[in-house]
Amino acid sequence: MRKLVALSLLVLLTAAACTSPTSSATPSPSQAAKKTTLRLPEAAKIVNTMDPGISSGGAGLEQIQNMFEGLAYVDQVSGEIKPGQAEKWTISPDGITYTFNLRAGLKWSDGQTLKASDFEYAWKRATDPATKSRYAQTLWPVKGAEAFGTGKGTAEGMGVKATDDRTLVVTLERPAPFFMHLVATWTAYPVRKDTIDKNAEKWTLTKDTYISNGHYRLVEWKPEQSMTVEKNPNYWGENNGPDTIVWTLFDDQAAKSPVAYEAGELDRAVLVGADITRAKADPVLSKEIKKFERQGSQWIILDTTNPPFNNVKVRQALSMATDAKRLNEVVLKDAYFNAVSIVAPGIPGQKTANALGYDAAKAKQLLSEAGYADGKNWPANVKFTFASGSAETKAIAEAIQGMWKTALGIDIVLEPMEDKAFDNWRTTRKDQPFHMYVSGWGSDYEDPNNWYNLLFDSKADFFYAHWKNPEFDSLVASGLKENDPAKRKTTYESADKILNAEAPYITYYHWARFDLIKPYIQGLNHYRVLGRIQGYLVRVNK
Amino acid sequence: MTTFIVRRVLWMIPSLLVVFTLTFVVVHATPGSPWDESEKPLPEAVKQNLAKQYHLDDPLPKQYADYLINALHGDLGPSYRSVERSVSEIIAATLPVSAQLGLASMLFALLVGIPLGTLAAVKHNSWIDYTASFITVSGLATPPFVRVSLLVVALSLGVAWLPTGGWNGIWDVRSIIPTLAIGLGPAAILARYTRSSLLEVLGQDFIRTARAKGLQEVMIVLRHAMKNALIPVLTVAGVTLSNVITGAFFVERIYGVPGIGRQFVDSVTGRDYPLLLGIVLIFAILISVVNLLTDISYGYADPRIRYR
Amino acid sequence: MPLARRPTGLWRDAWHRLTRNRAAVVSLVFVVLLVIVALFANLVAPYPFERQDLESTDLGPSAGHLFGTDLLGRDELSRMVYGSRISLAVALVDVLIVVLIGVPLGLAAGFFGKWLDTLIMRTVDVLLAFPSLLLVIVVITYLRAVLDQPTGPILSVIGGLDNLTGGLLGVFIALGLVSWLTVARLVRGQVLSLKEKEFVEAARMVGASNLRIMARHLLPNTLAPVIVAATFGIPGAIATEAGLSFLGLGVRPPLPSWGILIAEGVRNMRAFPHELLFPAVILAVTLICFNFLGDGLRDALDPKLKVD
Repeated sequence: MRKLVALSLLVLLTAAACTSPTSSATPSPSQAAKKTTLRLPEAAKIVNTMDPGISSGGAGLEQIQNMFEGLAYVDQVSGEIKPGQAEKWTISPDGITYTFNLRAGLKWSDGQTLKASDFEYAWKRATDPATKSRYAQTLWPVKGAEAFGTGKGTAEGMGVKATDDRTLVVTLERPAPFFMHLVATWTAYPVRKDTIDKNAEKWTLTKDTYISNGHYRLVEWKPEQSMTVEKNPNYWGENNGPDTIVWTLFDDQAAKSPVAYEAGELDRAVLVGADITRAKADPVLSKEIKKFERQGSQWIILDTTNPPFNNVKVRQALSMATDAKRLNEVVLKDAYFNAVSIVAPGIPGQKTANALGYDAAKAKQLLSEAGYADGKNWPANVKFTFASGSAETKAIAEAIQGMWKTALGIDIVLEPMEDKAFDNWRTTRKDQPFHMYVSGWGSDYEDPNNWYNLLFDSKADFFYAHWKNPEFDSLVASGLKENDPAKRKTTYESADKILNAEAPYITYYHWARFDLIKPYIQGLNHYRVLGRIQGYLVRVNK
Repeated sequence: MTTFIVRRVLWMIPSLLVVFTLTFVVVHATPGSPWDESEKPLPEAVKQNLAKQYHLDDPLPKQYADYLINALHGDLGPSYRSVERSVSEIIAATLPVSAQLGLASMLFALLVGIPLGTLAAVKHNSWIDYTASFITVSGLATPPFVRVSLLVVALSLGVAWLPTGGWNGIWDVRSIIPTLAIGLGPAAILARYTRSSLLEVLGQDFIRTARAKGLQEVMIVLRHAMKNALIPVLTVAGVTLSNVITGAFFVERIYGVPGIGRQFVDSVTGRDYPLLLGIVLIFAILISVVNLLTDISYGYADPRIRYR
Repeated sequence: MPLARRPTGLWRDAWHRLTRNRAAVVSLVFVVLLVIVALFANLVAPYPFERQDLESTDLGPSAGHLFGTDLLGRDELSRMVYGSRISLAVALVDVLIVVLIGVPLGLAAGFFGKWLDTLIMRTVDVLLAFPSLLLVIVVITYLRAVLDQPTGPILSVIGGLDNLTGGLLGVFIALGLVSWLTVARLVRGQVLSLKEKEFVEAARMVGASNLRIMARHLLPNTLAPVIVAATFGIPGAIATEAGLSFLGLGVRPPLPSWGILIAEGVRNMRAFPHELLFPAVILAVTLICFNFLGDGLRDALDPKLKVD
């Protein structure tokens, strides 16, 4: 026992003796002048695989994108498809065959030559069901890929072939106008066969085995703690970004990153809620605020076949009684962009004039026309279902419940659900009735197809609103086939008008990122579509 | 004694089997799939392939038997969410962190709690007693997630002595805030138990006899009373020990400590069942061992306790 | 021997002793007031708990809103008042579980030993390792799914209970699984030591039944740790409620509880400190009062202690 006491005193003493703040991680000023470091936050929970062929996106993607490069990439400023590892490509007139010509002298991060066969291997590997890819469907437009991926075909039957070291020929099942976006996706990044064969699933864990081909390469990954990368000297192009990037992994970025940022441990922080109010009032922090647009909508989905929401007037009333401006500016502290219409701005076809907007008096009148004047006859137990994982969603649900009660006199029951139980509940809504629930959508690529055809078309019915409008369906079908951009836009605009008037969805804000960024950081940008921070675009002037 | 220990160790086998079976049954009744991790749901064909690759489409009795047989061979299987690390590797990486932190917190709790409780008992119903009660109870009244957040604001932002989070081994300054945040609770509990059971003992006849014999109060407390008051303190120490070793989820999560408590909760909320089953088995072993040690320690604290 | 006295005399003496303990009396008054506030929340609260005012959000304390307002402009004082219902209900259930499950099982395990001890204590081991959160998820998810169309009388009753308590059923299940474990071990440890003592032998000699020995001789002597355990379980129970509510397994929003108010307050503590301060301080004061009252009760019921 006495030994134990002595030992513990020692613990306390040594602990007290070295209470100076972080020392090891930060380089001394003289070093910093030469070597620059960018320190970013990232969500810990989801960085569970760094394997581009397996990753489903989410967190971890920023790291993968900084370390790998595909045949082509999406420019993070203009959104255009630009040549990456391929210097050019040709598409056959029937849209079936894509021929990629790789740049000369491409190398992996360990100095070995990168060949077209590395792409062939990576694509086949990601498609192979045994790889357990979470995103294999990306490559399914390739001939034979879906069959191989679902166990009905073979790797040999897949339409991807390296005809020589610098040429990759891809054959598609049928023409796919968005195929180049898929080529730019992480699932289509090349990976190295020898390290994967040797280390199996552990190849992503250490710097010697995680061989990449992008602007950066791995230094160290400490699961649930941090990830460090450095410039890849073997990258074909220039990289004027910081020499190293360090991501600190947080379970709750919004709660912890502002604290670390203010203590000088991070160059970027993620802000939500009350921290935004505080930052805006702070003389220093208020100058470091930066808000980025993300092309997305957060909405309430109504079951348009289930009473009382099978009545379009009820849906319109609820939509017009939702004061989205107040919700964003007051309750959410302006963390997002005020809702302007169901579809996010920037998508051709979206038109703010089509939106119903906020009009409590009109809403009241519509509800009474529907037979529920001042909430009379309103059915009991109308449920507003949401995943309870975020405190923000709870506040939103409470606020909207209050708004509808005040404006329309109706009672809604809030039904929070544990996140995974909610996911499960949501997928079963395909053929089971519900009242309403909360979800959202962000562009995968900036095209009306990704919204109108994929989500709202009655055959797609992605969110199970069960909304069916033949005119809308035929408009979006012709929009999909239209080649003239101006005509295409007006076609989708007509569809947009029907959608907004019918109100199967109530959008309450458009997505955004609200950051604090240190003044010595330049060029840090989130592109509005699937944007991740690209280190090579950032300058650290410290 | 040896037969007692052997018997208890043997008893762990049915305990483990029961824990495992119960968890297995509940796991397969819980709604939700482990695969929906990004913002968008996965296509059904991809989910089906994953289920097949991880043998989730086998009949349940087969899954149960397979898992058990593999576990007996020391293979706890793959984690659904972490592609690169197996369940055994995740446990091997995170358990020592939580264990170190837990032991340090326990040590802190013992060093603070027992003296404070003794002082309060000796000065029963005086201002010292009330102050000690006040401190310990208000320490406990703040839940751990409040405690750790307050400590970070005070020590990392207020006076800027300590980093705002992270982990670099138990000997690094980064362990101070989590140790305090975890240890304050058990310290308060130990203080209260020490106080109450000491009071109980101090009122008993043999203490009065000792006082009558003119023994010094300090000696009475340390020599006679303390030993008799030890049983509940030992029990609480045992229970808290298993609590702190098995991870302080909130503190680990908020301070960014890569411990097993985080993995445990994440495996439940993320439906990473192999990881969950593995952690439950390890916890069951740990808890059984700690409880066995507690029982053995009773015998030393009070020789009249005999195990048959 | 106190046992020779009539029970009424014992209680009258205890009450007399309790009223002479100033800290205990003040605490008793506070607790009684709290219960009154909870019972008559609708009369006490200045505003309905769910009334929003988006013109006056996140306001600090003022004459109109003594505790300020929250992010939806709801009156924090009114939310605290209504929240006391949930939190006191949770505290009460927790104490009941401790007293009605933990104490008897601990007594039986310690006193009878042998297979009963093994059975009870191994069950404790199993439950300590069991992921009770998962069971709560299963039960609540299924329950709320079937409650829309209740089938059969049992489900209707359970569903009614869940609705009546504002969705606390999951919290009660979780508490029922875990909150008695520590106490059962504590009481057992105490009994193991006590049953070897002279007075138990003496009682046995004069032919006292097992039940009588347990009730009259062992139970009173385990009171001290039980009181501490019962009061200290409360913050844990309140935190459990908050945690489960945040997982969507507890009370239905917008119904408030102290745990929820504290958890929300922590998120906003740097911008709007009052949103954490008031609930946290009131919870702390409440627990301190429970403790002083518990201490007072213990002293009052302990015949060996002399009132000075």
